[in-house]
Amino acid sequence: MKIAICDDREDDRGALKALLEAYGQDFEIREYGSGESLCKDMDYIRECGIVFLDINMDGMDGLEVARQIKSECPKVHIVLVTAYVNYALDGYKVKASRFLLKDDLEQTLQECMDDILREILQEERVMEFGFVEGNVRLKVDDIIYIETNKHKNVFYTQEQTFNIYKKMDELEEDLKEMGFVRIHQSFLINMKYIERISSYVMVLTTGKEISVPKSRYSEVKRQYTLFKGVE
Amino acid sequence: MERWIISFCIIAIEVWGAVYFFDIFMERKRKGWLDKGRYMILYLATVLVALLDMYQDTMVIKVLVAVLELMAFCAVFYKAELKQCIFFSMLNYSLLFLTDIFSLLIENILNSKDELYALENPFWLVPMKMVRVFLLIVLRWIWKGKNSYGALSYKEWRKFGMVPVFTFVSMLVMYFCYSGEKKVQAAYLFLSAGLIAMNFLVMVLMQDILEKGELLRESALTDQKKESQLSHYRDMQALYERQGRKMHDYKNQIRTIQVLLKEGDTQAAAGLAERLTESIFVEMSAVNTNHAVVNAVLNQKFHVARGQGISMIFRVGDMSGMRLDGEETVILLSNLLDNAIHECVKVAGLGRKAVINIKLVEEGGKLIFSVKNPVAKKVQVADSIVLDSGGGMHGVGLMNVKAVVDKYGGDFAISCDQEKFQAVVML
Repeated sequence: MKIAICDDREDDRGALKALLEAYGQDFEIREYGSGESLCKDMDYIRECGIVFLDINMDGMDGLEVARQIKSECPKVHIVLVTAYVNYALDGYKVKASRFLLKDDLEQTLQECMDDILREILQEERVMEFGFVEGNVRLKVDDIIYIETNKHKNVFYTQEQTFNIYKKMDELEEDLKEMGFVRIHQSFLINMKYIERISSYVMVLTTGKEISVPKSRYSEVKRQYTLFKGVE
Repeated sequence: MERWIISFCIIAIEVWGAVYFFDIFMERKRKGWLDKGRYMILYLATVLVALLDMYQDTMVIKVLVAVLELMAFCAVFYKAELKQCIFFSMLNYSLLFLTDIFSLLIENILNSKDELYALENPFWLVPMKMVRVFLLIVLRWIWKGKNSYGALSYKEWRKFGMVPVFTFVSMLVMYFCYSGEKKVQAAYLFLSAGLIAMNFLVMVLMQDILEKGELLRESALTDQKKESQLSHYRDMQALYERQGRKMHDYKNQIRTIQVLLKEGDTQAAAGLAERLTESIFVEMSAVNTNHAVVNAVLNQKFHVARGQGISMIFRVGDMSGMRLDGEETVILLSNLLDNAIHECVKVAGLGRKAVINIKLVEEGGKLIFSVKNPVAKKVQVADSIVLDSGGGMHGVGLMNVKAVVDKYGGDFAISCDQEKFQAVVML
């Protein structure tokens, strides 16, 4: 994975790089001494998984850089690193993934990397399914929900639907811990696409409404709440 | 033929009585179509048990089979633990048996008979069953308690369980030692009435204990709320005191900078000014969420955590639109963060890294507050509470959080595995 570090202090860049190298994975790490130099290398940024940005830099500060990166590469994870906790709020405004304190990096970096890598893995996870339409490699995140229709199960994605002759229980097992919740014998929902759950009805971001049985309602809400906590 | 018809009618009344009895004390699982057929299912099971009893002579085994049948019914159709299934099945059966004995004894005394189990006219069995129906209605009227027995400890269940066990033993003694003598019949009549009354008394006592437990919990919650509020004011006080000390310090630092500038040592003055600026931000400007109370609590907990070598990773947003009042905010944040810090101290003591992940944001119109922390040991969780080793509720902090969440119709969920504990509030 490609990582970028942007900090106007060489010592701080070096310290962060050392911690990332000690994390134990094979990263390609590039360092930048200013926001301007980082923004000039957008081609590399587009290929990056994570960008570490110091907020307080002379010239273009980290928040401004973060805004620019997010506008051009919305999927890149930005981690704001600073000595000042005060910027946590501003960090969220630029949709930074995390906010770390410089003097605490040894403690917090591993935890932060574990979480972000898990998120990246989740976003990029691809599974192959033997659909009626043929073998298709689907990004798990693209599956909105799966519904049973007579003797087969139908995968609903943003673009199209796919049919598969496989039991819902097996599909639930295959997609375990990937953010799916079984709300009904006939429905397996990707929680990323849930808009809200209330009064025994689940509304998806696509506008679809699905009834949630009373017997499963509290468990579905519980799983969704926990999902929103880590999302 | 008429005996068969009467038997089926009697079983129908007994089954109705059993289901009515269990509905008084336990919450149904609501299994859809299976739930609607529970009367029929219990009826068929009872008919089967009755038919099997025709080939069984030992009374004790007949009683045991009947109780096991009721226990299985409770386990399938009600949200009840094993001890509750056992207790209420035994209680139900003992009331059934006792009312039958009571009614038969009355009939025996009136008709001067020697045998307990033979009626002059079998049709009298049907109105006899009305005695039990009447008792069930009285029980329903007495039992106003909620069907939540978490407040009862295992010891208390054991003590209450002695009553139906004693009742069973007494019933079997009466059955096996029956005599046609008037005095014995009268004594057994008195004994059966007394046992019925004793079983009712057990239910009244249980209800009292549950009510008192509820009052104690509410009292503990109120105390905890007051403590949270006091804690908040102490946090504010601590913050003002720290700011006051720092202000005093900074005055001295600024005087030093003035002196350096007068002496022309601009480099030293600039260095001191830079260090001073950093210090001000780190010490005084804590987490900023645009909400004074949230800032006060997060700031205080952040410093407390740092003081104990615990780190925090933040994802916070603009809380200026939060609709909770100050007290509720303190309850929510303080309880969850205190639990996380408390657990992290244990984790740090084991030589592991202790990092708390905090997410406090507004997404899609909902406030999401999530705290994730490592655990020294996995804890049991059930229905948004943490259980202690005995299966009872551990602490009242999470109950307070739940109370706030319930007030706003929100959701509260907790989970724990071998490594991490997570608590999420969504309002």
